[in-house]
Amino acid sequence: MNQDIENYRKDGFIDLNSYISDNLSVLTYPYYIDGYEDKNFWLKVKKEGEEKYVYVKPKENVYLNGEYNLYSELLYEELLKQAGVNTVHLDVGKYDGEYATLSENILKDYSYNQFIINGNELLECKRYNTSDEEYSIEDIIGAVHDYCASEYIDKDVENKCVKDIEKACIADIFALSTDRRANDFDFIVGNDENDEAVIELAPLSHNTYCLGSNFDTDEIYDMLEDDDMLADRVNLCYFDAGVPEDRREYEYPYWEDTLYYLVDKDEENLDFARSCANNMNIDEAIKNVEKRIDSKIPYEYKEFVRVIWDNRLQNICECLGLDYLKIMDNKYYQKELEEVECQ
Amino acid sequence: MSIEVFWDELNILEIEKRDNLFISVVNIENLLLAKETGFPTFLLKQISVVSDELPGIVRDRIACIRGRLKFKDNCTEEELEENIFNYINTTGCRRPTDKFSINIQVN
Repeated sequence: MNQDIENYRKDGFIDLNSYISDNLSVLTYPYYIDGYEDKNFWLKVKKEGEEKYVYVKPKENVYLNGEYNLYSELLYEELLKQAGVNTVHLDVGKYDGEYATLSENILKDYSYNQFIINGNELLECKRYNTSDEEYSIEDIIGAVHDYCASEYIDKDVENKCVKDIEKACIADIFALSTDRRANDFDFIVGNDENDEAVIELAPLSHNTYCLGSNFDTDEIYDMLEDDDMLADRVNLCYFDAGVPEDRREYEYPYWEDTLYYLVDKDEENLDFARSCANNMNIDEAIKNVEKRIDSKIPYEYKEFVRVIWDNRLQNICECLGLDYLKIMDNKYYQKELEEVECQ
Repeated sequence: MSIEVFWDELNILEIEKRDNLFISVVNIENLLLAKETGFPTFLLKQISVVSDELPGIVRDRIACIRGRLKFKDNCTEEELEENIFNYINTTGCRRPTDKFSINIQVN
């Protein structure tokens, strides 16, 4: 019988190596999508008295900065919660001396015939002339429409799925996400309890590069000392889910193009972008993450995240015609109000 | 070499490798049964009957096993191939979020 994984938590982090060596019935499955992520694996664990599968992402295979990447993923989870976007809950662990994130299997109820496919699989079926990395937001939405037409899926279900993709992209733009490839969108498909075919965007789980974790430590220090450099580098963070090439301002997908495309498309997207600007609060997210992991986020990364967040927020406010100072005043006022209420 | 693709217990697709071609055959009866239990036929739309590459549904599932086993065991090419076949047939390349599994036979 496996022991509960909670018994292996030390200083807030689950010791995965000890858990794997002590529990022989643990099974691991490699993640199959691409070579870059082949150290990620599935683990069968006992948690709260039940056997569950958790997906482990060791940070050793992160391109630049594994430690900051851990904090950026946790911070983004908090920000997505504030914006009301469905996201997976991440736990933290250590594997082979490196930080790792753990997330439970999104599919909790196996009684229905549901499973998960990713955006790249949808694009492949449609035979779009595109790849996992070079796709446009119209490709992925088009693939969802085609899937729904092929499987006779209800219009409301289809529209909700498309809307969720658009909202996820808007939230990504706020969080300076630079890694939203097609296979980073997961979709729950199959039949529901009434045997009706369904498709829904799964809780966001591939949030590896966001909030500046794509910069290395030296770059971060340089940018903190040079405001102009910071503004340029932050502004030029590309966003994978770009608009089609013929409508791009630059050769690469640029976040501003996608934001304009989305808010022009639908009033609901514009309202969502406004609510993100008003409701996403980086200081609150930092506070919650530090509470969760019971330790402090490194000071330089915390400062860096605050600065780049403000920088991006100012740029977005300019795009959307929002008053940045008023938004910040409201947030400051709310914080003071909460403090007074606490006292 | 032949590869069978299962949807739960139903064998829905067989792929035969002859020379350098991959020939795909759908098991219609099983496909219709699978469709009743939520299998989206949309996922088979990318598969060519005769192709010079493996269908994506199989390719994506076995793509990184090679790298992973090599990394793990540091074995020779022959051992690696045997390990890959064993791995595929033992696990079916099935993830906890998946309903597909794969079986491979060497003729």
